[in-house]
Amino acid sequence: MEQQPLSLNDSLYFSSINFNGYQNDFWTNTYNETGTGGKFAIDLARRLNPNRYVSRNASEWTNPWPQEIIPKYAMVDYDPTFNLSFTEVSDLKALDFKQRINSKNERFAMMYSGGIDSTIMVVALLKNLTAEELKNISICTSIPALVENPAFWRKYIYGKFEIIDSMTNKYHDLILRGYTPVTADDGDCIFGTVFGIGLYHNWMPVAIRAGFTEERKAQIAQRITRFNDPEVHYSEFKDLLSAYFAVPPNQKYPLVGQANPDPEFGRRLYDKFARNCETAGMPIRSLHDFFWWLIFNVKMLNCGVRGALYYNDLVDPDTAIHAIENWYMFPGYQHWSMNNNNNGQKILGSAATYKKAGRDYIYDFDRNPWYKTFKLKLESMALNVVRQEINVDLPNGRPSARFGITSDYRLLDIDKPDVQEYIRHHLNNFQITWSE
Amino acid sequence: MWNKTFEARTANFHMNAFKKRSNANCYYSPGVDRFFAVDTLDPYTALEIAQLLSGKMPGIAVCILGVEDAFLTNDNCHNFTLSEKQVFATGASILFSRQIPAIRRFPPNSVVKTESMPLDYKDNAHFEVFLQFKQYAQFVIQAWHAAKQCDCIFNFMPMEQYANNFFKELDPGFDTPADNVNGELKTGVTNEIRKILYFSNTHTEALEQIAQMWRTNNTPLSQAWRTQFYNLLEIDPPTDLLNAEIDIERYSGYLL
Repeated sequence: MEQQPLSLNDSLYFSSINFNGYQNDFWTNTYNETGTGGKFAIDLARRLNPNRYVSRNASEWTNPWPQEIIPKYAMVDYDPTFNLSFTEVSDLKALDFKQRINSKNERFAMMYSGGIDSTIMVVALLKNLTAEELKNISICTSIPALVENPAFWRKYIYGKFEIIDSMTNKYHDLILRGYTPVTADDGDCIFGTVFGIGLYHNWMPVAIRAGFTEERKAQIAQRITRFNDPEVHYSEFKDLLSAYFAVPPNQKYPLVGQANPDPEFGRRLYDKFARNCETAGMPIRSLHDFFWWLIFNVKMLNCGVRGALYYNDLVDPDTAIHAIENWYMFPGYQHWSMNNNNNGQKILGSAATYKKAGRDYIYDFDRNPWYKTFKLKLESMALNVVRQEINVDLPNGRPSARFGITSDYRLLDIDKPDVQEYIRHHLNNFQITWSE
Repeated sequence: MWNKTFEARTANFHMNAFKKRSNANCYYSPGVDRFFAVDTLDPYTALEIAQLLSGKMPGIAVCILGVEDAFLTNDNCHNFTLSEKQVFATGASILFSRQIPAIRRFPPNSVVKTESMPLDYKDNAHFEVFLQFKQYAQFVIQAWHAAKQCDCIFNFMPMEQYANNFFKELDPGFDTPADNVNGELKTGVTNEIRKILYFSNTHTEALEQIAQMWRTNNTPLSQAWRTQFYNLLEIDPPTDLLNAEIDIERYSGYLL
């Protein structure tokens, strides 16, 4: 069936400005033809590829095109009285699965990477489900997961669950076989982001490149160790964050650098994130709060739907997005995340304390001190997706050509003239309203 | 070209003290009773190189020499031999009964200079074949080190290796690619180079086959990989590869 052409008034549920190789020429040409606002949107991809940022609540955030939030991903309202622990929330989530298994014999395919987020899912199920109930659980994984946590694999998974190879089975395979795929890809969103950790522990090169004075560097050195302290407001680091957000002039493939990146981009991006924090509807104070809010709010949609949109070729986006369960979209986790800032539950100091509450939850079950003490955050999903064929014509089009979906779930292909016209029109009219 | 040892770029990877000693490892041919190559790199890879050459030259012995021993180079090593040949290695004498290479650490003063090549290899066709082999062996030393160094740098998730080494009994049958190049090649870049080096007869033939492999696997990840490979060999990539557009039909890792 021929797809209805995209109208300039159509609003989007998801959009992606992505330098992925295939789309590079389009975005580079568009950059050269568009105005300051359009350039900002594309520079945002060049700095934090891809640009798929959407606010999940009423906080201030503008996109170039009419934007709506997929109802499934709308943020819960902030409830400062919420007091369940991470353990209690995780167990509650598992009990939800227990009920669904017993009431409707639902079968779950857990996307297990061996990382902290997906290990929490499996631990919760092992803790709370009976042996009979666990028969409805399959583990969808691949060799990198074994490498990330070999002891857990050997002791708790191998020989105990049905195993599905995630390298050769995409989401559509799981959905078409009647599973509810369950992903922990949104786990980072409740803890923070390595984008922040990358600054806390490596800020000096940024300060040097930006030409900070010795006095200013000394101030930062003294304050940034308290990135987790609500008394040290993130705005104290405005100059550092602006420098950190600037587009590097000599980016490598595929993030082709512009000869003259907008020198104001870093500050403008800081202003945009800061304005979003100021209007968050809940307290955003420390530097870690700042980065956490960035991923919890404007990046979470991407973490939530990218599997359905880029690791699925056969099932339509509406069905796939709603068939795939995001473990950490569970309201209990959302509330926990909004009520556990700056108390050591998300991060203590070093990168190996990131997701502290999750590490503790796993350790209480498996007693593996190595994993608890040393595990680092990895980009697990990319290891699978890196191998898929992306330019073949499939029912959902070419993965590399996908630009987004409309609010009625039409998949948009960057090669289509109506989609290109839509993008150019809205980028040309996009105004920077949050910053000078 | 291929006779460099401590001055070769590949030597820099090792950060060793051998930069003043060209012949930490000496490759000895029992049949010819002469050394045909030396290198200053790691001995484990020296044994692998001997294995790569073992289809052509049986019984290669990689002799790890001490600092007291003679200083030989790739240019003059065929003028040297072992002083003591009744050494056992891999269950046989160093001189016979082996196809598979052996590696041994040798006592001081194990190497002696000879007056000339043995009669069977003196100024005749046999000597020409020996020199051809010698040249190829010296190329293989550089090429295999370059291939391994590139693998260390660019093969960021060697799944096949991990699966084979650690999960043989715990693998339900996962797809285990050898590397992430994601081209047509299923065996992995480094494995393919190893096979090419084993079966080729000259460095020209091997380099052409390797170039062909890069051509048919010209993906975003392989581009940096092959650039480094040629850089370590200190030769220019074939012109067509220098200008080749990356095949973006193959995913680069930036879709998500």
